[in-house]
Amino acid sequence: MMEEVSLDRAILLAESIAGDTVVGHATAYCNIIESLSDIEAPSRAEAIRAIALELERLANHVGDAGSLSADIGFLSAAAYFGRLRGEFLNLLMELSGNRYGRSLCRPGGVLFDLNQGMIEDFQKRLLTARKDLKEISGLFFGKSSVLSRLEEIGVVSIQTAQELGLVGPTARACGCGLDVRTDYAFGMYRFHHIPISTVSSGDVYARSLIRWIESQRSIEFLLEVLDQMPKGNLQAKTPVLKPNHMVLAMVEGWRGEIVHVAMTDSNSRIVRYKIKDPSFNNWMGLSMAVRGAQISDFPLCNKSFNLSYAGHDL
Amino acid sequence: MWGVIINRLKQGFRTLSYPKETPSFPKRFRGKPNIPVDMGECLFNQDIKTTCLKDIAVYSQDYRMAVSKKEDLIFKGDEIKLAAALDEKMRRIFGRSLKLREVCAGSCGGCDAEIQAMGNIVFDLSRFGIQFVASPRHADGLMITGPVTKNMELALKKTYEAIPHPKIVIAVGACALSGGPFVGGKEVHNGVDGLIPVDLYIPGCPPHPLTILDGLLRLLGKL
Ligand code: SF4
Repeated sequence: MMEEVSLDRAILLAESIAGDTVVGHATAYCNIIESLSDIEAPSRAEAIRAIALELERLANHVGDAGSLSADIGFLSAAAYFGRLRGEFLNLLMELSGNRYGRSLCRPGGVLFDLNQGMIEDFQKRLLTARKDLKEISGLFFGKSSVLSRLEEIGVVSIQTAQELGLVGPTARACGCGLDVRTDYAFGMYRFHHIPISTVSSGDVYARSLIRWIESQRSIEFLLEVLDQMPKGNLQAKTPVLKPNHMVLAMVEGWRGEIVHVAMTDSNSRIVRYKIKDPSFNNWMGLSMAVRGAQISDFPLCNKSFNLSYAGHDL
Repeated sequence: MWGVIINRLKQGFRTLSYPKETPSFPKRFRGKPNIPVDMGECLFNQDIKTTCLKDIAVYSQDYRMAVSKKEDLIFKGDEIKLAAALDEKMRRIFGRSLKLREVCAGSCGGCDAEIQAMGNIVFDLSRFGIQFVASPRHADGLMITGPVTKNMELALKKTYEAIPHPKIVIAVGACALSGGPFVGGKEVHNGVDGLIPVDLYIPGCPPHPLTILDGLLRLLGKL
């Protein structure tokens, strides 16, 4: 549908590719339009996009840890994780007016700024969240009954992961060191690095652990960026597309690598737009993980991948 | 064991005292529009094109937007007619226990995430006697998200038929109300209307959990 709608509407469509990856897909779309028109978003805007992207990652990783706890029947941890997910979504709402970060990223920049007061408030709330996350995860990962339910369930080997081309935390839980934020660093990730985390066992435990490790790293990244916010504008000039070009944009969404590709014709109209959500790569991984397993392990495996139906059918 | 108890004490009580007190929303929250628009079509985006004066904020912070009739979605700049309660008989049946079946008819997942969020300890949906069930046969009503893709049309109609009478239908989100960002797409209908009758419309993209909760409580005559 992307080719058929006006540019004003296309960004709204991009934000609705997968409702839990609003910022990821919107950033990819903005990068496409910016490359097609040779403009660059100002660094303050890049910083704000990265902040939103990491908040999105945190909300989803923590939410997944919550659903995993619910599926193994550890309801108190599920409740705490669920609440903590809300805290990250509320930070996104402070920033963009919407719990999922809609209306924040626009080609050429962002629509909302963070003033000094907000930055301090964000830092304070992130520090509390870091403490909460540590306590709740300690509770969750410290229980032998939890570990026995997660370990050696739904194993995907590193060979399988490589053969299927798995991406994101799922691939990193099998020991593949893939991360767009490092491999093809974009935006703010060129200046502030996030180390790649990997776990090698490829089971449900690895996929939960990777979420915890990545959440910690995201919080550290956020605190670092908030501390050194670049100054400047929020918007570059309005984009004018170049004719006969093809561009590709990659963003590391919370589920993994998001790829958008667009082509313009001689009238600078976008004639082809292809989107690949990480769910597309990872569905086969889920099938492999549940192969030969018990029915009761299916919910666990499913939650540990947490793929998007909307993002797959593109 | 002790760890769990200590953690429980540290976490404290987190459920909102809603509806007794209304929680505050951040300044940038985009609630009920201040300008005349069709709330069913509105995506509550910041860069909405308006012919209005620049100095009016386009959105208020009012989260209450659910209505009972399609016409009421069209906001003309005055008050909106918020959803009315069900009649006495229906309220007697559903007032204390309402089981809903949720069908995602091609949504992006945003609305569904907010519906799921209503179940967490902050909003704690079940304290109002409302729960989601896994089969339409166990349900009193249907909650629909998404523009209804052609592939989901049959499944949606079958689900509707499988719910025993009397039943209610709730459409959540711009997609289900009008097609939302997907309006006019080749693979989708423009929302639920015309396919099955709707009793409650909840605008938003996605609506805030409290917007949905407000609609549900109004429908049950609890607000
Ligand atoms: S209304 Fe918005 S959030 Fe809800 S399903 Fe549609 S696009 Fe997604």
